[in-house]
Amino acid sequence: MEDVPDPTDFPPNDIAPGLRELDEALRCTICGDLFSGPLSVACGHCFCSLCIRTQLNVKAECPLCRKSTTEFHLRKVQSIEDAVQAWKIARPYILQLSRDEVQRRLQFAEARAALQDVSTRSPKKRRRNPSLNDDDEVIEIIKPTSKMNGQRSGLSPADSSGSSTPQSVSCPVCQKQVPMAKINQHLDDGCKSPTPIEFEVGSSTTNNKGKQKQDWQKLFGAAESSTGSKGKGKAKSNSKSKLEPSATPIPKVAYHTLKEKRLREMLSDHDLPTTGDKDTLIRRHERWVLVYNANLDRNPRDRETLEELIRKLKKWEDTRGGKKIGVGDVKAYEKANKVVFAGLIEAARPKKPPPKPQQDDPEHDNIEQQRITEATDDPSEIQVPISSSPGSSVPPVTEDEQTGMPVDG
Amino acid sequence: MAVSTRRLQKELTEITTAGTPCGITLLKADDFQTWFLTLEVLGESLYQGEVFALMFRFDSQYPISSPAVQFVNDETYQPPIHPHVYSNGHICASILGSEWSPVLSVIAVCITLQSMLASCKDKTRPPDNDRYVAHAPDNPKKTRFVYHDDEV
Ligand SMILES: [Zn+2]
Ligand SMILES: [Zn+2]
Ligand SMILES: [Zn+2]
Repeated sequence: MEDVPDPTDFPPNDIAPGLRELDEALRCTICGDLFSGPLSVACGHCFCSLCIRTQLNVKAECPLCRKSTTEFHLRKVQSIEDAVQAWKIARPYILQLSRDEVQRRLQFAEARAALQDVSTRSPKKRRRNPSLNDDDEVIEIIKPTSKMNGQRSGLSPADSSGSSTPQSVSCPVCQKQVPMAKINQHLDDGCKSPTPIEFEVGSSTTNNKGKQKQDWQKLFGAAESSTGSKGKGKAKSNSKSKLEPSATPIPKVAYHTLKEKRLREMLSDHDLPTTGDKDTLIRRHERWVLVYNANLDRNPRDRETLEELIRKLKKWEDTRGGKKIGVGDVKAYEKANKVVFAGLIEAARPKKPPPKPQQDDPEHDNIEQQRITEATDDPSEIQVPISSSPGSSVPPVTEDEQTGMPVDG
Repeated sequence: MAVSTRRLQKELTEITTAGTPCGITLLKADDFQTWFLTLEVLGESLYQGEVFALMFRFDSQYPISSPAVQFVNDETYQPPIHPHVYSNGHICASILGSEWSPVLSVIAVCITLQSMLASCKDKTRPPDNDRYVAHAPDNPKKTRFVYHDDEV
């Protein structure tokens, strides 16, 4: 089973406060993935471009709060897209840190238990008297992890290393030298007090934990001093933007006014297969408009190529999306189309984007305006701009045949 | 991976890590086409002590398209007797039809149906039960139910 990222990848709130919520907040409530080309609707709720465009073809309301909304209200939410972009980079890193933190806490619990061993003056004897106190269960739980981490230093009075005084001990969690009298308080503080004795860099057993600690410090340090070290994020935006396909959205089409012949022309304008009956052609073109325009709602650097889009369209048709349930020779159809698609995907590779007026400026920030101005270049067909006013859109997706039996409920 | 599969995988992860609400348990989810869950109404209700099973069927357009949901009707489980539940297990609930939203989930549907049962005051079959069941399609999604009240 493929691993699908999910907010529950993070530890719960008591260990990693807010991380699950953060991950959740950057996910589309329709598909559950991190927003792709986020668009807001009239009420301000936000969804992936493809998700909400597909859904608005079914129903003109916000899926979350049911407030009525149309494509006219769709707005790109640049800030969310930026946040998602950064989170995609930070997520695996923070995931690792939070898992390390879970480990650290287990070690912490173990250290405390070990400390009690020392204080009862039986430093050699690891095994504890089961009746002695109620921390025993914790010890049981962490035993396996201590094996995983290799040999543990435990809490031992500082030995030969000359720098430490006889009254200090090496903290088993952070490896700092801590005065014996302060070790309890130090553990209670989560290794914050008494400050600052440097990490023991040399010891091999400290490396892992020391690194963890530094990672955390980097994490917090970066948040506090928001200077200098942001180079990485900046450099990203300089990277060559993916201009394929061109930044011109396809206007929506009122299909019921179109002849089949015209539909085929429109499909071949976009280098798409022209096989199938009229219903299939409409579904294919309608889906293409969705996929294509949704792709334009992404940052240029995140856009997919025409080749990838055609591949997606094919996959969509293969998984019944392009057909009514109950259509007879599905297999034969798919077989026939596989060949057609294969050729087209190949053909799409070297080619330039569809035959639309090309604009050289890669940054089309004002997509809305563009949609309106470029709505029609062929007066023979009734085309409605994407940002159409309510009610002027395409006929609703044909539903699967229903018995139409009115029933009391 | 299909969008429906990804989405269902997430729901499954959520169920297995965070658990299910009281009275709802996952019975079977071996694939991403058909799931079974059990449902019981906790606290005082006309269905005290009864356990029901729900079958969810998903198509590749889930969650844009609603799941086909019905009560199981076999040797182990029988549908509840309720004015919106037919004896073949089909359910007349707007949330499964015109009021479906893609942000809803399997668990959200279970909770809604649980509260539908919990608020029931009259343990009867729908008035047109026999007529409907005699001609009902296999898939309840193919029935265009008419929702008579919003208490569902
Ligand atoms: Zn989405
Ligand atoms: Zn809303
Ligand atoms: Zn420490």
